[in-house]
Amino acid sequence: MNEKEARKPGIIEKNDVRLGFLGYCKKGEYTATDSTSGAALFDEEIIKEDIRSIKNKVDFVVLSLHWGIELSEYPSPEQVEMAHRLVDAGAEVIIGHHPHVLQGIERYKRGLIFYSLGNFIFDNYAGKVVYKRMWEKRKQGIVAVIHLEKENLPTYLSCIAFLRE
Amino acid sequence: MNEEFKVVMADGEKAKEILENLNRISNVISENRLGQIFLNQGLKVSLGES
Repeated sequence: MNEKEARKPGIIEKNDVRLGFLGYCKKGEYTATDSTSGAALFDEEIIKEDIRSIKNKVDFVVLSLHWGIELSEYPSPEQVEMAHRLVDAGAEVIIGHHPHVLQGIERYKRGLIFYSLGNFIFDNYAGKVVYKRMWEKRKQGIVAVIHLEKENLPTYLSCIAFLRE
Repeated sequence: MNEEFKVVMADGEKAKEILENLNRISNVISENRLGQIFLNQGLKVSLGES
């Protein structure tokens, strides 16, 4: 999946609701290029362009973002501002991951922003060998069950999970 | 070496602790719901070296 293909949305229709999924990752070994496979590049202008391209074709736009500062329990002010701009651009749900710990959940206008869902299933053991910071917090995660109905704001239920050693 | 861990849904004091922390840093309140469904399924994860 090259860069162009990686930016294509996944569109799912269920119960007469159309969902558009877009996913991005910060530039690095996991991002696609013209000739190598990977995730779409995390770049605000690219994301906004992609949101605009599907906004009229779906009822909800869901973004998966590999972003944030590892082991920080809070999103940075820049992240919060960017999340708001992405909601203003048309995203209804933002699902963040990468920090390895839970971060906050924010309702902003029509959007629901999960800054980081935590680790849930991740090779914490390897992490523990490398470093032990925030070890207890790194065992935590949530499963967010999101309800999307036309004309209504997205809502969610949390299932709190932790890794038992 | 392979280590086996189990991802479980939190309940009781553990869930309360995690929820309190999550709600402290959020502007919407979370509840621990539906966890029993996952708990009953006994999510189990095997992790190897990486």
